[in-house]
This record gives sequence, structure tokens and C-alpha cells, in this order.
Amino acid sequence: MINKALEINNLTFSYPDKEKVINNISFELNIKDSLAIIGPNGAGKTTLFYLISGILKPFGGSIISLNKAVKYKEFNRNIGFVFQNPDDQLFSSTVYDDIAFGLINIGYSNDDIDKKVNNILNRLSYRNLIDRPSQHLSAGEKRMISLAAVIAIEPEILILDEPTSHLDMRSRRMLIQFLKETHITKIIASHDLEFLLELCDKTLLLDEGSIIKYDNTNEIMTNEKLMTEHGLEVPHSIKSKI
Amino acid sequence: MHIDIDRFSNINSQFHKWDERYKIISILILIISFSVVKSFYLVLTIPILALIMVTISRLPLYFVLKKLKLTLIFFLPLFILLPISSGGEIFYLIVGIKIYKIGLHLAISIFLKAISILICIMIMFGTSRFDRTIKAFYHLKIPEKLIIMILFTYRYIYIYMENLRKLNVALFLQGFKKTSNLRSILVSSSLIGNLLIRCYDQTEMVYNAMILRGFNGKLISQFRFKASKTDLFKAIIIIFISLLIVGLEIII
Amino acid sequence: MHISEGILPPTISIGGYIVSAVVTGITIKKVSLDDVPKISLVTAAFFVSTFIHIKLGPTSIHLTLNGLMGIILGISSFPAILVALFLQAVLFQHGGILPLGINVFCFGIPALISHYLFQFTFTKFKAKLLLIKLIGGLSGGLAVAISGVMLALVLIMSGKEFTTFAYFFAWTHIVLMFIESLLTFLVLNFILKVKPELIKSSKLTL
Repeated sequence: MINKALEINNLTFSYPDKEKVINNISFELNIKDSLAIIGPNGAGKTTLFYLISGILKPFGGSIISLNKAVKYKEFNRNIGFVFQNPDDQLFSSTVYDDIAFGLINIGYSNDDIDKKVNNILNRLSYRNLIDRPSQHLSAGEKRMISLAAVIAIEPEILILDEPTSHLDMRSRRMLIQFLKETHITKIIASHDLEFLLELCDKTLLLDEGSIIKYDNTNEIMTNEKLMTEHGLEVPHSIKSKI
Repeated sequence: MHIDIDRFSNINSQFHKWDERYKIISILILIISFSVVKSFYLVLTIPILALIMVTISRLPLYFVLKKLKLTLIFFLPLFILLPISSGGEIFYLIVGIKIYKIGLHLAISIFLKAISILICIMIMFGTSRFDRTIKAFYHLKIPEKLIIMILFTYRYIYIYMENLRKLNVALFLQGFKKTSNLRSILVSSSLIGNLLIRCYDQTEMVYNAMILRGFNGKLISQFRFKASKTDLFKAIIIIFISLLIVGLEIII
Repeated sequence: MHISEGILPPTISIGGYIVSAVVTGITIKKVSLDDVPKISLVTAAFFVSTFIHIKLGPTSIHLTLNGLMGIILGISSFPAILVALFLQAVLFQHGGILPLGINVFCFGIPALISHYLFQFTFTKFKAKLLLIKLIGGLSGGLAVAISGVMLALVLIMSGKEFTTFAYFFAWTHIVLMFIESLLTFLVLNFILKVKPELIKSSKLTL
């Protein structure tokens, strides 16, 4: 039996001041798939992520990840969620402490923690930042370190919410490279369609809390009518080829 | 405003190399000994000691002076009021205003002691990375919850300072100028309200971030302090000087 | 305005630390580890808020806001004030480390008084928002005035030479009381309009 990375069935959710932010969503994701989630602002992308990671409790439906039901506010080591704002996620005194945070909670020994923190920083070529307080990091560094802090606990599924916002070209390229070399299931929400084109084979188009289309990235992003109907544009690199 | 008290924590000096736990205890004892001193002539020697210490610490003088500048403004009312109101023997008469000897001595005394103590505290916190110094307090038996509060608060002060700075820029670009009127007070209250609300939202996200990384109560990564004989030796020197000061005060 | 370094005799400094330690011990026990990050962030916001200066004629004053801290943070306002004053002393050389115990006690106790006063008003007059805001504003000012009087008393205890300065100190605080009352009222008004959960939430108001 093949484990599905994610099985979402009839998911619904409303905020007190907004109804049906997530409106009866169902889809599945295979292990090692890379899924892009696109849609206009207010489509429900971030809310969907909150539900998948257990931060919010659905009103209806179910979320099963690797054969385990996702429980509200319960630590699920298999799911790593990188927030849109790194300052919400880097709360420790130094880069080392932030990356070590999850590892301490899991129960690794001090030596193992040392090794893992150094490993991940070496992978990012950021070993020099190890003792740096987070307030002294640039926007790009903060983004990569918050990613490192989440990746350190070795999740099977990685969720990224607008990862390229506030990144310069170099950091963006670094992020793309890093994600390409990380072979786990990925779900990425972004307005940076070129970024998604490079990384994701599958795309979910979301609008007003409902799934408009779930298909291969190319199928969706070359469909000019579909994209413009839902507040998006065909990515430039494709436009020139059409 | 630059908050970086530990901006020069990465240079090298005897203070920089000192184990933070010993450094904290020794300097605390030293500044308590400073505060014991009352006799005027002994007070005059204290700033000399502070200056020697700051020289050994290699902290740049402009940095130290810059930080002391603002404190002096707060002392102004004291320096004006004490000499003219303390009573006792009159020292001088300026344009009919009596300057009392006790008040004048006291004002100078307080000034010199304050500067010296502040310099020592700057050495205590300026010669190590801030989080290391705070973690040292944890090893000195300060409750964990307080330590975590200090570290977290410190971390987020930077962010909110930035937020405030940006809000002020936005106000400036819209032509707002602070004056002594009701509107300015209204705007200030909105700034504060804004800061508090944004912060409240952020507390939710930070808490979520902690849960998503398995938060279960443990918050301080095991920080390993290792002391050597030199650390103890330095402590003994400083404590000896402190006892000397107290001894001299008792004798004089 | 807090008491700066160099003024207090060691006996009073240490006495201040002892009483503050006792109250901190009591209040921090009621704070769960879960709440610590949340309280810290709010403390940071308050810390930064004190940098918002109010212009009064030729001078600008900076606010104390201990009354408002008491209202929003409840019992945890006492350890929060300890943290805020500690960081002020270390990072900005305002106040000081030796007088920290005294300063914390003199600002923290009025914060707790504000908290209880507000709590009482809130539970008794739930719907009467205007009354709640007015009492909140008043307790904000009251907190500052009480702090001033407490600190003035400490100064007098430190030596009769400080008497005139102590009176000056107390009177400054009493004048500041009016501005802080107004400001606390306005901030409460803002928060109750935009995000009432901040005040009604049991997460922060312990």
C-alpha cells in the first residue's frame, strides 16, 4: 500500500467575519510531489496551510497526512511549515538556538543537535551566521534560516507560504537551488509564478475557497483564459513561447 | 536608536575572555561597594578605577561616552536642586542663591558614582554577546521564566522599534508634525494602540510557530559554560578591590 | 521617571530587591510557561511605546504606561515591568541596576492596583464601555501618581538632603498623571474599537 503524503476530504472552514473561506475542498498528494497553490488574494491559500498544519481546526472534513489524521494544535513532526513572515518564526536569541529549538523538543542529545545544526548551515553556506542574533540578519538570510529551522526537524512534507517575498535575486536563486536538492513532498503558495514553474509539477488553482482546477502545472499556467479569470496572469516565460 | 550594547562583544580583552558567571558576580559586588562610599575623597577615586577598567576592556571611549550622554540629562534636576536645598553649611552665594556644601558634595558624589557604576554595567554587558550574559544569569539561579522573558522581549524590541520607525516615517511623509495639541496626543495614542494590536496578532503566530516545532515547555538550549582558574583569579581580584573600598570607607 | 544610579544607599537598594523578589515570586508562579512568549512580546511593545514622546511646550516627555500594562497584562505586569526596567537599564542606561528593585516595586505595585481596579470595573459594568474606558484612563493616571509618591518617599528615606528633590519628583508625577490618564483612555478606546479581544482575552489578563 502506497502512503499518500496528504489526503484531504470535504474540508470546510469559516472565520467569524468571513464565511466558507475553505469551501468543501478535496484533493490528494503523493509522496515527493511538488504542489503549487495559486490563486488571487483572499483565495484561502494561507488558511488552507493553517488547516493542514493543525493551527486551525476545520469545521468539517478530514486531513490525513501519511496515514495519520492531523490533529488541532498537536505537534506533527512530518509536517514543516515555513511562515510568510520569518519574524514570526525566528524567536530565539541566535540562529543556533532557533535551528536547535525543534531538535531539543524532539529529544536529541546536545552532540547530535550540534551536528545537525552545523550540517544544515553548511548546506546553506551560512555557517558564519551560527551565533548571529536574528535581528542582525538580512531579509534573505532570515528567510533561509527560518527554512533551516523547519527543515532541521526533517519533516516529510514541507509547506512554504510566499517564500520569495522580500527576497533579492540571489537569495531567490539560492532558495530554488536548495528546494531542488531537498527531495521531500512540497506544497508552495506563491504569487511568483516563475518560481513555481521551476519547482512544481502539479498545481492547485484556488479561488474563493474552492478548487478551480488541480492538474499539471503546465496545463494550468498555459491556460490564459483560466488564469485571467481568477486574477492571475500567464507567466512571462510561457507567454513568449505560446 | 542603537540598542547594541554588545556591539563590541567580539573584540578581545581580559573582560571579553572572562566567564560570564564570574564576571556578573564580581562586577555586581564591585558596584555595590561603590554605592557604599560616602566620604568625598574616596568617591573621587572611584571614577579613576572605572576608567582603568574600561581601558582594559578595550571598549571604545566614544561608545561609552555616547551611552552616558543621555543619562546626564536625567541627572540635571538633581544637580540643580540638591546644592541649593540640602541645608547645612553654606559653601557659596551666587546672585543671592545659597549653595550648600553638603548638597554640592552630594551632587558631585552621586554624579561620579553613577558614571562609574554605569561604566561597570556597560562592561558587564558589553563584553559578551547579550544572550550569553543573560543565559549566565540562569546559571546563577535566576528563575527560568524570567530569563526567557528577557530573551524574548529583547528579541522583539528590535522588531517593534523598526515598526515604530516606519510608522513615524509614514507620518512624516504625510506632513504630520508633533506639537503640544490634542491631535498629536490622539496620533500618539493610535501609534501605541497600533503597536499593541500588531503585537497581539504576532503572539498568536509566534506561539503557533513554537507548537509546530514541538514546543513542550523547554525553552533554553543547554548553554555550556566552562570556567578556568583565570576566571576565578580575576573574580578574586575584583572582589578584593571591592572589599578594599568598603574597608577604606569604614576607616575614613 | 525612575530613580537613577548612585543615589540610593545600599541598604535601600537591597531592601528594594528583597520586596520586589517576593512579589515577583508570587506573581510569576501564576504565569504558565505557555504564556511567557506572549507576555514577553507585549512587554516589548510597551517598552517601545515608551519611546513615543509627547510634546509639552518646550519639552517632550516619555510615558510610563504602567497603568495600561496592569490593565492589559494583569498579574503578569509585575514581572513584565521587572523585565522592561532591567532592559531599559542595561540597553539604555535609564534607571539603573542598583535601584532596580526599588523602581520595579514602585512601578509594579501601582500596575497591579490598576489591574484590580480595572478588573473590578470590567466585571461589574460589562456593557458600559464608556465607564470602563474612563475608569481605565483614571487608573492609568493614578498608577503614575502613586509611583511618584512611592519613589519620593524612598528618596526621603535615603536622606533628608533629598527632601526638596523628592517633592519636585512627586509633583512632576502628579502633573504627568493627567497626560497618562488621557492617553490610557485613548489607547483603551482604540483597542476596544479595533481588537477588543486584547483586553477581554483571558490569555493575557490573568
